[in-house]
Amino acid sequence: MGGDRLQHAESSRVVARLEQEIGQGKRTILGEISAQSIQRFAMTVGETNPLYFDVEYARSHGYTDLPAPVTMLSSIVNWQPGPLEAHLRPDGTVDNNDPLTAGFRRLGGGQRLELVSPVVAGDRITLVSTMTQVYSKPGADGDLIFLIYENRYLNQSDDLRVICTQTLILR
Amino acid sequence: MAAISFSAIRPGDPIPSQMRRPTALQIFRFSAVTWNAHRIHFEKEYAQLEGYPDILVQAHLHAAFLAQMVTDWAGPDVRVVEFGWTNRRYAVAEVTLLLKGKVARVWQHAGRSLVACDLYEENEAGDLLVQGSATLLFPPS
Repeated sequence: MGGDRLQHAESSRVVARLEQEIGQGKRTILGEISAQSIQRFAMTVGETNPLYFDVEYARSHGYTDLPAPVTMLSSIVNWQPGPLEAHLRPDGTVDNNDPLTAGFRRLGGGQRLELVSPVVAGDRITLVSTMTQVYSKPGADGDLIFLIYENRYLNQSDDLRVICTQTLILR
Repeated sequence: MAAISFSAIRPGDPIPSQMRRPTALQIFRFSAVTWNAHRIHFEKEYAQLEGYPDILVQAHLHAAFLAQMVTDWAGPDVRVVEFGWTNRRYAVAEVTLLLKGKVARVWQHAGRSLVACDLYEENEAGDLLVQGSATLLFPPS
């Protein structure tokens, strides 16, 4: 863990423990997607598309309000107000207090989004997150553990809006 | 931004390429809007401690660039129904990123007009930084 090579015996043990989490959906209310948050995200990434800034333009193209840019929902690292700075890790990341993965370096392994229906300004989003797979593979410098999550984003009517399949790599 | 017609699209068609050069300010604001306090995106000394020459462009910022390239080409009446990407190699601030793509497949299914695209992001040396894909739903004509 940390800077050390992850030996196969240790990774097998961690995988076996993580496998017990598979299929257990965790439901979290994320909050409202505001017009301001949509516009700030769009502005920040350099979008000039009036869909994200002009409500009448958005409505004239079939949206009920400003749509969230394609990658916005799954880009938000933390939806909560906090934590307190003192509770952040030294590198500035949030400690998810998960004893199963504590001490590992976490790398993003990619995402795949299924955009079922547009998310628009005013939608209140709930996330249902489920681990679907965990396995280890030998890497160049010790074993890597792959965690696959299915994150379903629902709106205030519990209608499915986005499915994000995310791969996290621990080493 | 002219929209493209489904009937005009063929497999192999290139998506108009775009260029980005994310600044430290853009990277900072992206961390702000995504509520990400990871020092690797705003503190050069910390990034260097982690073995990088400078602050890193966020994985999701790369993705946002590729999504923009696709939606700029497709136009406001097209819906992105699938979008995926994998980061292959890091990029630091003030590096030129070249966004490219091409149409992989054009088909109709259950009355829906669909286009699948392969997307790429490279640096000026030609290194592949991000590999991605998108599926677009075109309006009925």
